Amino acid sequence: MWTAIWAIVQKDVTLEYRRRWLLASAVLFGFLFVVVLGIAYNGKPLPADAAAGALWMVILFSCVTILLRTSSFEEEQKAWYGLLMAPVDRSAIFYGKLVANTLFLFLVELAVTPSFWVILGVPGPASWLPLVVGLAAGAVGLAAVGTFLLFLTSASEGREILFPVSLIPLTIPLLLAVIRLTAASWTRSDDLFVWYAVAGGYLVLFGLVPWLLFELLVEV
Amino acid sequence: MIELRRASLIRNGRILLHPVSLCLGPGLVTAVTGPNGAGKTTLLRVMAGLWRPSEGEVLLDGKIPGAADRAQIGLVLQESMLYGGLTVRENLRFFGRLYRVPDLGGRIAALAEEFAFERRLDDPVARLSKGYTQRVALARAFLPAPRLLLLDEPFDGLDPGMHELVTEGLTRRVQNGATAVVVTHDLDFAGRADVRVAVNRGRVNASFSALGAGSANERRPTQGPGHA
Repeated sequence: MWTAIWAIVQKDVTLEYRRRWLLASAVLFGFLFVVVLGIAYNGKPLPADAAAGALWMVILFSCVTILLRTSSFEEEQKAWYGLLMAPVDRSAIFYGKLVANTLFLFLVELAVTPSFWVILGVPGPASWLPLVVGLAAGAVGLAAVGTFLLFLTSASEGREILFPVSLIPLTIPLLLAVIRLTAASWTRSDDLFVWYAVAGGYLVLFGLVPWLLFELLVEV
Repeated sequence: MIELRRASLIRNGRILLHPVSLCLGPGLVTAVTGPNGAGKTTLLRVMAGLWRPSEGEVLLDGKIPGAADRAQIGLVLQESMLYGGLTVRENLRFFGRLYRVPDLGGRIAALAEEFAFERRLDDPVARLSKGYTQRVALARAFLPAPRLLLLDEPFDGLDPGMHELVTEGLTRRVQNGATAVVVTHDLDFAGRADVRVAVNRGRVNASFSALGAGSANERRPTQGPGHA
């Protein structure tokens, strides 16, 4: 199973490295969003809560772009069927795609987050732990739910609409937790246990559910 | 040996495949023929386990195939099932790793020689012609030395020389004990096949039970339930 997961991750990274459209477009979108927000605020510093919300809005839209793009790797020439015919537990396909999508999303986060300090005048983090945990949990959680939904909607004709429309409501608990953690890192709030717990529980849920259901879903 | 027991497929209330019982033993080439949209590819996908039958079952060597058994199936569809952004070698290495093919480098070299694409190994698949892409798709399917070959229009895009070479390769594998099911519009190939199955509007019009290699006289046609 690990060999299959690693092979899928390497394949997705190689495909993205060759074309470089995916990360470039997601990062560019993020920068443009931050620049427009900076223009709207006219040089005034953005409140921490609004900045945290804006950051996760950028990451959420980048997530939609990235996941739709990486799933197209499998759709071109139906390579997806080649994966399904492999003699491995089919959940390995899910976890391989999940790791690759998490990696891409985390790279976008690393590129876009500093622009909030530089362009929008948001102060540097007073506490790094909630920011790092929030970014990591957000990347894994969004990639997990998104990857799962992409497989669920793979046979749907209106997938480009259906996918983001179903992703956003499903990720509200996660977004709530990571936005609170991100805002707290800029304002040094205490009592964050509940948000760590919500993010952790969400990751456990969407890390395990696909493992249990994936074989069933792809066979129907 | 692959066996379909009253396997049918219904999607969105439409019957794509009427109940079919079919038993194909090793050492046989089966040609599946029929007009466009008749259900030939559907039959192949049900056989491959890509689509679970709505009723009935598909058995491989007498049991419902599990994950490990999928290594015994070599599938070629009308699409290449390859990644256009990867080179030929990278595609074969990727699928070889998924299939845990031993001596992968040697196996890739042997298949590249068999299908005459040694000089294109480091070219991206997206830049290959239809014929070369089809050769690589066949090599991908043959990579784990499968015992059941499910091939949908395998000669599509091949020049006459390569057509002959693929037919020879297929025959050699069948003589070594593989079972081949070939969806084709090539009536010449279909005429030479050991078993012929005609599909029309999701109905498999004829089926044969062939429990092992043998002459046409030894084959035992069956009229199982659900056959037209």
